[in-house]
Amino acid sequence: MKDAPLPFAITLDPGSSLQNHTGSWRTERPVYVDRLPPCNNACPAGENIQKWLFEAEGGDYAAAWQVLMEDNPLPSVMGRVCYHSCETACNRAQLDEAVSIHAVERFLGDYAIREGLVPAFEAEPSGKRVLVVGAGPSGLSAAYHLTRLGHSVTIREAGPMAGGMMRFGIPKYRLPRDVLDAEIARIVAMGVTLELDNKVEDIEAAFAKDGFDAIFVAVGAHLARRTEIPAHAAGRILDAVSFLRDMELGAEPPQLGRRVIVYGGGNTAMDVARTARRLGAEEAMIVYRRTREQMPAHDFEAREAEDEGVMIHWLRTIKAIDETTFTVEKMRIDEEGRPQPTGEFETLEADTLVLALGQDVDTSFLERVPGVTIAKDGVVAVDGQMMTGRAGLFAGGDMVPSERTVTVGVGHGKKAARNIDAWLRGDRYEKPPKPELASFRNLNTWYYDDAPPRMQGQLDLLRRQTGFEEVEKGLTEANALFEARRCLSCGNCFECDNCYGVCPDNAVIKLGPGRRFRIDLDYCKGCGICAAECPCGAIKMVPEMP
Amino acid sequence: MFERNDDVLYICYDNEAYMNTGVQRSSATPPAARTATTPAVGPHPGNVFGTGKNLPRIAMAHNIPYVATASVADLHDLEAKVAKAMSIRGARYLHVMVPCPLGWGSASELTIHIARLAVESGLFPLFEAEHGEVVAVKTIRRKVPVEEYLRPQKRFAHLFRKGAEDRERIDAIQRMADANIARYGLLPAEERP
Repeated sequence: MKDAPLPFAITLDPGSSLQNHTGSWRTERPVYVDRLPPCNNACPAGENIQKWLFEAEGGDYAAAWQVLMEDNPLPSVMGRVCYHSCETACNRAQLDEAVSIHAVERFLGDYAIREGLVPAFEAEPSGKRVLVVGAGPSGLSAAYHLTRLGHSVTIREAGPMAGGMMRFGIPKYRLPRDVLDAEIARIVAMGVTLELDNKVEDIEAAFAKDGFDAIFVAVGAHLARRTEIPAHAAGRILDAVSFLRDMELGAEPPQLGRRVIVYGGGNTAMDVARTARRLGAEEAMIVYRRTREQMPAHDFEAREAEDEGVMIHWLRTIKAIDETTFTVEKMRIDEEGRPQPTGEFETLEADTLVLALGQDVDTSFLERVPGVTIAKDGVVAVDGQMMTGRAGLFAGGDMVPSERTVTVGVGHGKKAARNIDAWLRGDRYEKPPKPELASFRNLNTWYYDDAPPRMQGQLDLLRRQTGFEEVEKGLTEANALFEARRCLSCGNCFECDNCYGVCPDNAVIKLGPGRRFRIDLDYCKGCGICAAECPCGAIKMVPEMP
Repeated sequence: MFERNDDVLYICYDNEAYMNTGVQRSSATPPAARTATTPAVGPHPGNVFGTGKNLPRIAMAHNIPYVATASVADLHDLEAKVAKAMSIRGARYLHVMVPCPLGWGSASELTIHIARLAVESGLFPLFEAEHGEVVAVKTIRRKVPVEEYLRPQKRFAHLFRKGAEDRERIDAIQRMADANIARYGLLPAEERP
């Protein structure tokens, strides 16, 4: 029997590049890496921002919040008051505008309060007791993290309420008190003992008599700095710390008069001037001896203060006071950037002067503790483990050398907790090594959609000048979700399948959802397309070893 | 096949020369490109300046049901066009641009990037045509001058010799891109050159 003749046009079997073992051509191989996103790198509280944004992108806000809570017990507070260095570092800022990380954090924090979420953790009770002195951001954070690590924690707070500078320094219009109360209550509900109006005077007694195994002190910096101003007949002079404290504790708000001068150029000065406007001061002025560029306050705070009608006199010092007349001298900036007097004077009229010239630490209760060193600027010296010279006594927050913000404080609390935990186990905490940074250069931004940021609304100006309602509004769920999805996932695979799609050799193998990919080295010829086209820079080409 | 409207899906991978046999010039080789048979020597180095053979438009001239261009730089678009072509009966033509790192003298990891620059410069328009009429185009998202596409390819290196840049022919290639942009409407009206 004869074979049937072949048809005129034949159909070939489908083939693919897997017919050739192209892997033998390779001189470089692609490797999946996890680079450190710049937001995480910048966060003083060590948050895994990218990971909680990733969870939030999927709409699982509870899971996102739990990731957030692994590092920061106060997300709702932080989403409002943090100066978000993460957003300054955000790679998306080089594409259009940074992801509004703080707004998503605030959304998640508020969501958790509304839903009554509690942090999920498992810890074996260690049987160790730790005393935390001071219920500010550092102390609360330390207590929270030590509890997560299984230790039994008591906080002793000298004041009548917990929160420290979050309550007595940050005005209500930036941080509503119900938010603060809810996040503090959640920490206490984890089993932390909070003793208010209990000032710790004797550290050694707390070790010896009360039987604490370790102590973390974070009492903050509450002593207002003063300055000498010649006054014939001084009008009313207050300091910013007491003024803001009285706003919280006083039966009635402090009496300021019609015209107020705030002396200083930090965020506290802005807070005081903006509070004065809200209390009805017709003229709220700030006198600062340097320029706008040199002020320690963040520019947006000065801008918001000016929006609310605060007048800022740059390059001025107060030379003399005669009742309500203030003689101020004009300054100029010399070559070294220091303000120098010019000999030119002018006068301002005001009923009250509020000094906002910075704060010092009350270290008197530590001076008797053997081994503790007070640095020359009045802060407490600690080693890399945050321990003072007295074994088992740790310190953090505003009272040790650092930037004085809530976020840094929360970060200190976490760091101290980890070190205390290690110390209690006779060990030493070693920070895991940082992976290499995911820079903008590592990204292929072609694959990201154009997506301008969602703006937070602000309270209208009239209400900002007359009351203490919160100025910044939160994001809606839709906007928070949109904002979370703007994250570029720098340096960490989000399984977009792009490498799988572009590989000319079918050498990228999918391992299933959440398990990423594997390179089939029999076929990968090392062309590098996957690495070049990876949107987030999660693939690196490394030379083959001979 | 096109004139009889046979039921065939014809997919042409275009790498702009006879690459497998050693990079000889073809009618798809762009002007000024160096190939083994159009060396970069003489007063007008590289391929002659002409219009080339525009295969998608030849196919369109037959009024067949479906003609489309696609690029490896946009896999979702390519996939959609293949799926669409497979759903139609009759003669269909799909023209896919695929850079050849060896023949073009470009880094292999830049293959997709260069294909993308061909699209974003306007030199390789992405469109679909039905029964001889253009019905859809992919608009340019981040427009680039042709120079950005030409520079990373060694086959155009002679256009960019230090001190002897061939401005005239670079500008002529730019005009080809601009003509495509105008012809297919690759940019919103206010952004067209």
